[in-house]
Amino acid sequence: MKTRIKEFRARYNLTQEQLAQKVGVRRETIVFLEAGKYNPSLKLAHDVAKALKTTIDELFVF
Amino acid sequence: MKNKSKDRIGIVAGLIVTALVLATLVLWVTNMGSINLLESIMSIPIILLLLVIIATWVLVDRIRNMRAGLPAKDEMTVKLAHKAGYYAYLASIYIALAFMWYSNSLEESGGVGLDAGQVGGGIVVLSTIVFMGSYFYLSHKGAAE
Repeated sequence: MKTRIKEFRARYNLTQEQLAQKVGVRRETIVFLEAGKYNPSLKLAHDVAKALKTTIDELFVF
Repeated sequence: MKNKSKDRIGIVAGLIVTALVLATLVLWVTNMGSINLLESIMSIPIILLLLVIIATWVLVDRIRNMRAGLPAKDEMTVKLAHKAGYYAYLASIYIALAFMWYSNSLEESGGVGLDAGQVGGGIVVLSTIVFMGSYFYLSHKGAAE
C-alpha cells in the first residue's frame, strides 16, 4: 500500500510529530504509515485524512 | 484527557511493579547459593530479569511519548504486541515439544530427564525471548499485512 501522507503533510507544513498529535497516535505510527509499513484501521485512516483535510481515497493508494 | 490520565496511572503502576520485581530479583540472587549453568538458565531470576528488561523498555518508550504530548500506546503498538504474542504462543508449543523430546532422549541414554519445573521455566524463558525478539523485529519492520 502506498500513501500520500508525506505529500499532504508537506502541503500543510506539518511535522510527523505534529500530525501524530493531531491524530492522537504515536510518531512511530505516522512513520510506518508514510513508509507503507502499516495498514491502518478504517478509523485511523479517516482521522489522518481528516487531519490533512482530504479523503481516504486521496491519501491511500491500494 | 481521560486517556492521558489513564496512561499516567498505567505508567506509575508499571514503575511500581517493575521496582517490586527488581527488588525481589535482587533479594533472590543475593540469597541463593552457587548454581550450575543449566539450573541458572531454567531458574526464576532469569525469568524475572527478562520481565524487568521488557517492562523497563516499554515504560521508557511510553514516558518518552507522553513527554512529547503523544499517547503512550495506540492501535499500532497494540497490534504489534498481539502479533508478537501470537508468535510467542506458537513458539511455546514447539519449545514444549522440543523439551519433551530432549527429556526423553536423556532418559533413553540412561541419564535423568528434566523435571516439570525445568521444563516449565524453560518454556517461559524461551517464549519470553521469542516475544521480545518478535516485538523488536515488528517494531522495525512494521505490520503491513
